[in-house]
Amino acid sequence: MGRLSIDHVQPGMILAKDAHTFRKQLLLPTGTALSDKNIEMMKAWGVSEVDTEGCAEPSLEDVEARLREIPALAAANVALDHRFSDVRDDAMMKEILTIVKKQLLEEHK
Amino acid sequence: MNSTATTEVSWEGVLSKIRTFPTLPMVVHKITELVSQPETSAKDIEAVIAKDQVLTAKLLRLVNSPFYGFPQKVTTISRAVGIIGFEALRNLVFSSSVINLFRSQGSDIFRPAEFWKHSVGTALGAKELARHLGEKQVEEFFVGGLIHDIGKLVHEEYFGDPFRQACSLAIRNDILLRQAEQEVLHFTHDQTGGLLMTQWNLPPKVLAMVRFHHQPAEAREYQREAGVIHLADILCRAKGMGSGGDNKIPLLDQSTWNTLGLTLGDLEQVMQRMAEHFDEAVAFLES
Repeated sequence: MGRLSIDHVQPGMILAKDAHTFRKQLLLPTGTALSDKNIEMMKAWGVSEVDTEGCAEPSLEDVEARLREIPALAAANVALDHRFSDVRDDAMMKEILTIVKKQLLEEHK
Repeated sequence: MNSTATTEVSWEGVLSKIRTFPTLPMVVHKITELVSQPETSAKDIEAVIAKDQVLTAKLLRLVNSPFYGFPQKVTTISRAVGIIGFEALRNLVFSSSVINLFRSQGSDIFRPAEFWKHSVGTALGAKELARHLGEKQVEEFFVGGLIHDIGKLVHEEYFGDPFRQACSLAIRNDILLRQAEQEVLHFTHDQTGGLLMTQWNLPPKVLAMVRFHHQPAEAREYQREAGVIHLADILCRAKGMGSGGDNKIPLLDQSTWNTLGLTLGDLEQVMQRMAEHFDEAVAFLES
């Protein structure tokens, strides 16, 4: 899916390119399945963005599945679905909805 | 409110009513004039603004707020001008002046506080998008976002009854307020807003932002400007900041999206910044 801010990297994502320290030393090689520890290490070494593989970016369906697990966000989620109900089939609007729902999850953390 | 059963609901009615809508304070015109003259100094600007103590205090508070985030305390208007520049200052003066227009009574169905939040959210979105697009005058986009729906205030003021009917229809039928306005009033807030921009003698860019925020492709050479407001409006609704009078989101105009050349990553960052600055912006602009 391309470049992701380190703040949005999730455990399980696969590195599509080597991750380097700010001094250009190799930190983690391409193909690493990231663990929490890896992500913390990259943050500690000042990595701000990494390239991750295709399946890394969560789809709307993934995000919605995670949202369903958080009762506190149910009302906000319903309101969002309602607002988007007429435009959800549009590809760009679906992307925007995905971003908003992802942010809803992140803001809840 | 002066709407009665005899209120003429027609475009001609709008044309005659709009002349009595509040004008911009003289200071806005003076500053606009000064800013356009190459020989104007920061001191000249200060001399005009200093006559208005409320405005002076407000501008200094805004410039010193975390919202603008300058490292040292700014204590004079001329210093403020030196830091933020003439154009940004003009836009600040403008923003602080139009806020008063948003203090209408409203009703259960059209709530000024929610409308104000929608306007501020769109303004923030427009400014952030402009930044991502590498625009120099990002404050101008802030202003455009702030007043993009000002036509609704004109409707509320002069066509109160039919406008509130349109608001009810929008909620009842779950449609965009613009569509409901079209059905009840036969004209829409973007048309009325465009008219007011002409009456206020605002630059064509700002006129285009207000007039074409629902149809940016029709703004021709200003498609980019109108497109930024169009997109900011969508992002603001998506983030649930306030309400423009309905519970729906307009469809993003595809040709405008292509023209802007932004990425989804840009949108993600813009929406994040909007959320970060929203409460702060609402509070500062209201104070």
